[in-house]
Amino acid sequence: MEISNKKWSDDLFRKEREKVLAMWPTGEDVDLEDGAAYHHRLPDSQNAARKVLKARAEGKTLLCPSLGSDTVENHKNLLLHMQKEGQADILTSYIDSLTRNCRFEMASQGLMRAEAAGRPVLNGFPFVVHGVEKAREVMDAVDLPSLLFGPTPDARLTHEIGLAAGQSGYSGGPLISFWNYTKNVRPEEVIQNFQYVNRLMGCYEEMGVPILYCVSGAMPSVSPPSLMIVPEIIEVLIAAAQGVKHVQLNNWLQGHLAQDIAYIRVFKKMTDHYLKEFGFDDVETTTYSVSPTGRFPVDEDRVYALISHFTMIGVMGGVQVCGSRTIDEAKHIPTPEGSAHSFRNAKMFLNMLQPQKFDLSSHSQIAVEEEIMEAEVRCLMDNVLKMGGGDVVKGTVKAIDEGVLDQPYSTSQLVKGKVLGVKDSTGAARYFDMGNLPFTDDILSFHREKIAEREKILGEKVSYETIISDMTAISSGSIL
Amino acid sequence: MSKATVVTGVIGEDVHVTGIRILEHALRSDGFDVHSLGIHNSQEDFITAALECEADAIMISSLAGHAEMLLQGFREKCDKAGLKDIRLYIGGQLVIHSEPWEETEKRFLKLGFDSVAVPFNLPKSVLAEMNSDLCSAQDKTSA
Repeated sequence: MEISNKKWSDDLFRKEREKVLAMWPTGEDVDLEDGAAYHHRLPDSQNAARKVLKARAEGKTLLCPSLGSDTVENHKNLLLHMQKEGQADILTSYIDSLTRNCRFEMASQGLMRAEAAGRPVLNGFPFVVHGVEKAREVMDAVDLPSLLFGPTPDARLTHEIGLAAGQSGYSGGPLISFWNYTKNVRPEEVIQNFQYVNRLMGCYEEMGVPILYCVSGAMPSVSPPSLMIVPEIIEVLIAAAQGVKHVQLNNWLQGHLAQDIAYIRVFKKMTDHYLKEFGFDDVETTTYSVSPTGRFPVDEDRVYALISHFTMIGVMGGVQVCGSRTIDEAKHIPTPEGSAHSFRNAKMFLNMLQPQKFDLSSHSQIAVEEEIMEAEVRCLMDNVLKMGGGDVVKGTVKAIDEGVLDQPYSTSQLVKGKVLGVKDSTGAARYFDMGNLPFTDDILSFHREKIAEREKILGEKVSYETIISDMTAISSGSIL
Repeated sequence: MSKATVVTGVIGEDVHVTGIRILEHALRSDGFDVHSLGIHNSQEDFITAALECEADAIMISSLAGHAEMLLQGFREKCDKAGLKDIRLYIGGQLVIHSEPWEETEKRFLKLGFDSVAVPFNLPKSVLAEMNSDLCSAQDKTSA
């Protein structure tokens, strides 16, 4: 499969679109112009892209929980609860995992069981089996914007239906879907599916509907931030080529103040740099932060502290949108009440901190992190572009095959999986093994020195046991 | 020359991969030849791979709690396929309900596994066990 970062022709898009809309009967009801007209009927305050741009202009941070239930009634009630009791600013509609795997028949059966039982059966909202009209009932009931949520290798039909039903954005992307949600699917195939999704978003933009595309890159697992930033910049460049105009950069915080704040700042700076280099001058970038995906403590008191901690880092890093984990998710799928408690806690923290506009830009520890992170990002990005002869898609495919783009715990068998992270003596994530990453000697020795400092304190070499203890540290009650 | 060949992977519709990936790193850096199958494997996937690479052991990981159901008759199938002496290791979160560890271990020994790892067993002890099981076994064959 030959694939490049060129904008799809109208002809190619139209042909693919016929196939996508035929994947399930509800596809027949999708009409682009009607979808755009529905968005134009909604108030501006229900458009996610407009709302985050306003927040950026005002220097504010918004809260965005991750939400999803199966029936229209259940999902509507969950969103209304978070709008009213959870003080959310932007809502999300998490796509159930059957729909994310294009198992629409099974999702349809699950939905019927949920409707009959009167309690949730699926772990999200099955847009495809609901269809446009049903999904619009959710947007009609709430006052806030909502985003489609959830990585998947093929989100094409979900986007056709979700965007036509008034969802004004999506969180996910080709690389996070490839690393974490496939086993033997080639990266080209996932990228091609996302070029379609991005082209569709571009069509809405051309009809005057801003769509917020929140790239996700790669989930962290004691990962130095360059392992997340580079895939996310690649996702941005793929999207921009297809006409996406509003991107949100997802910062996967891991709890280390200096490293996380540097991550937020370097990520934005380098994304804008590469967008400019490729001539995408009219793409707006905003930022989002979320706490890590690893195990959380079971004890709610400790989780409250963590929610506050991660909200603080987001606000200090100047993000426009903060997500959060919830107090009860170590025990079960978060309840509406558990989510509302968690976000009220985050909002109080945010309200205390934000008006202070505490400026950390000249802090020396952050500057050290920024310098090394920027060097790593440039090194990886420039190698990827070189491998693709200037084409980021071609370069990405080759770089994955050769381990120049790599992830530590990918589900894909096509990923080298040689890189590994470990924490240094302060809890920042460093490269324990750089695998085939083409880093310079300076970068190499920076990480070695940081790890050596920890070894001195430990009195022994860091090992696989250290890595495991780092991964479970937060759930056991400490950053280290 | 590698110490021994091990087929590793996760059984069933389980995507939890972190634990087995770390073990793969540990095994490789200790000199084992690791044939990794990743997530989403059936019993047949493990057997086919073990035959192909003439493995000395199969190491199965499972975190979703369905392992017992998914591994019924596994040892018998291995025997039938000509993998009579292959060592079978398993670890992870092996059952959904809570029961004393000894009960869980018994269930999997009964299924024909040679070794059942207690949850949160660390790489060091896995390596020690595998070195003593597989490397002395190989010495025997070469002698």
